[in-house]
Amino acid sequence: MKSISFLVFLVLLLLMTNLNSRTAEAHEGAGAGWLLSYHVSEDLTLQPDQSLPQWMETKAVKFPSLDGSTMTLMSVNNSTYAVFLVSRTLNSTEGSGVVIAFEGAGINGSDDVWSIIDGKQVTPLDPSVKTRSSIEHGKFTATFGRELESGNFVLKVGAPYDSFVKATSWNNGTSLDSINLDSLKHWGFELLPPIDEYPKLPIEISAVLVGTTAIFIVYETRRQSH
Amino acid sequence: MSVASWFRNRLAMDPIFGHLIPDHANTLSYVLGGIILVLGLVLGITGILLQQVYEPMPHESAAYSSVLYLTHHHLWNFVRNMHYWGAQAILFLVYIHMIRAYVSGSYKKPRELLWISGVVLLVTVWLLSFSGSVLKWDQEGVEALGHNLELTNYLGPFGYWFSPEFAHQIPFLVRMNSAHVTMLPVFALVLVGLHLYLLRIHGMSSQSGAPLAERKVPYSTHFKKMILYGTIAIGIIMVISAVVSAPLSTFGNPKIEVTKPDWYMLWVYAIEDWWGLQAVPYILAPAIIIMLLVPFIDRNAETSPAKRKLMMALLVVALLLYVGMTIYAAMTPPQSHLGMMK
Repeated sequence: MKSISFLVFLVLLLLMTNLNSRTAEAHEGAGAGWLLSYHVSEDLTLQPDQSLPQWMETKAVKFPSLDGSTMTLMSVNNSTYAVFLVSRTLNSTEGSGVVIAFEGAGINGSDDVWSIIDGKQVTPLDPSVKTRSSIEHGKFTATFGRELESGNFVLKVGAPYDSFVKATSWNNGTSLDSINLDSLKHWGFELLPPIDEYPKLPIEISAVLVGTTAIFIVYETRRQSH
Repeated sequence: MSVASWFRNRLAMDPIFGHLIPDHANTLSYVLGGIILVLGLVLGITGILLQQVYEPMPHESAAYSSVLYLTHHHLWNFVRNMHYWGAQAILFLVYIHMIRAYVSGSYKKPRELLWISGVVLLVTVWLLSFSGSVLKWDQEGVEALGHNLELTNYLGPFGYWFSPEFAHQIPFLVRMNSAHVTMLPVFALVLVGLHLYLLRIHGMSSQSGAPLAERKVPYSTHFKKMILYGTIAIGIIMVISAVVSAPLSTFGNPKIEVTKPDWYMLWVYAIEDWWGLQAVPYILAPAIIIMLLVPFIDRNAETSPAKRKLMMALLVVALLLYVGMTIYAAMTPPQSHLGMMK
């Protein structure tokens, strides 16, 4: 029993000294620098509401806007349509703007730029892109949606696009033309297919393991008592 | 003289097939090891077939493309499905088999080494399954390899052998393939041989709690049951393989992390969620050591579960921990675990 006690002590010691200090880091790491468009099986909506179920299991990327406030960017797709959502604090759309650009995806290798200035979709714009925006309780939310196979470029599910997406926003009347889009952080981008949808059955298998254990205990107890 | 008798005579099989075993050893719960052995043969055959097509080169997506080729051809896809679902069945049956051995006290003196070889076989099956998932070179495989590389780097000299630096001129996927199709199967075969040898030496099942008057039957009856149940298991796996394809995600992108492991490793995923990837060896290693020590913790001769309440309580606690962690990991969204080790 001494060796067991020592082993338990050793595990606890290692956990206390080595692991707890790293707990906070556990959710950082791979994937930094990538905007992932998670797959959603249902129909997607452009409604600018981050509390909708389609955004529930999606990871957002956060970064500072031109005026220093933190903005959030996320994306979902259903294999035919992709929606991007941008949100930030904002009290009025006057003098504000938000832009998402796709590196080299425009005509002749230029960027494909989608933007909303002063709360309105900018024209000319990729005609296949649809936008919505709203301000509620000091939070500005904008959505951009597009079919994957239309417009200037085709987005392929499962293909990694390195340094592809860049985005920013502002609230101080900055003009879109004055923004050097190349100076913005470039995010890698991937439209994810349905992931982990094959029958892993972890809960069902766990239930069978527990049930079988109970049966074994009863069976062995009865067999060995006869 | 029949052909069977001829072989029986020439191979001197009577000491094996003729030796007596307790009658209860022919119930399904005591034939699980035999079913695993039959399914192991299926995996060996399907594995040899798959190696004729699989190309273990990571560059230009050769590995992934060769798996994709398999999925696009019905017969190859069926072989691949058999390999995958057969492996899943083995993992499940190994768990059940070990729980049965634990409950029936089959590790008690003089069967300590039988239990220990079983635990090492469990670890080998984990490693076979892990290395197999990497070979697909899809998103799940690339992420699994990322875990391997980061852990070996973290373990320093202890992980050097598993690191790319050990043989940097050889693509790591080639070494992983070699481990999956050569090293680990050979190791598993040696362990199975030892396991069967010990079984023959010390007899089927635990005897101490069994009634002395129990009927004895020749081992050949057990062998027949093993073939019968094994054939049924193969039939079930064939049906599943005809209906449900083995998973294959998109070509692996090493810069993202979006998948979770299969059901049998979800509990490890929960550890990574709570404490990070670096916690895994500190929890997995003691867990395996404790399993190896079971025969030396529970040393009295009693095998009835009713008289081993502490050991049964330990089993229930371990099982609830395992199930709880599995369900937690299954229900929570995928998290990033790579890239945070310093």
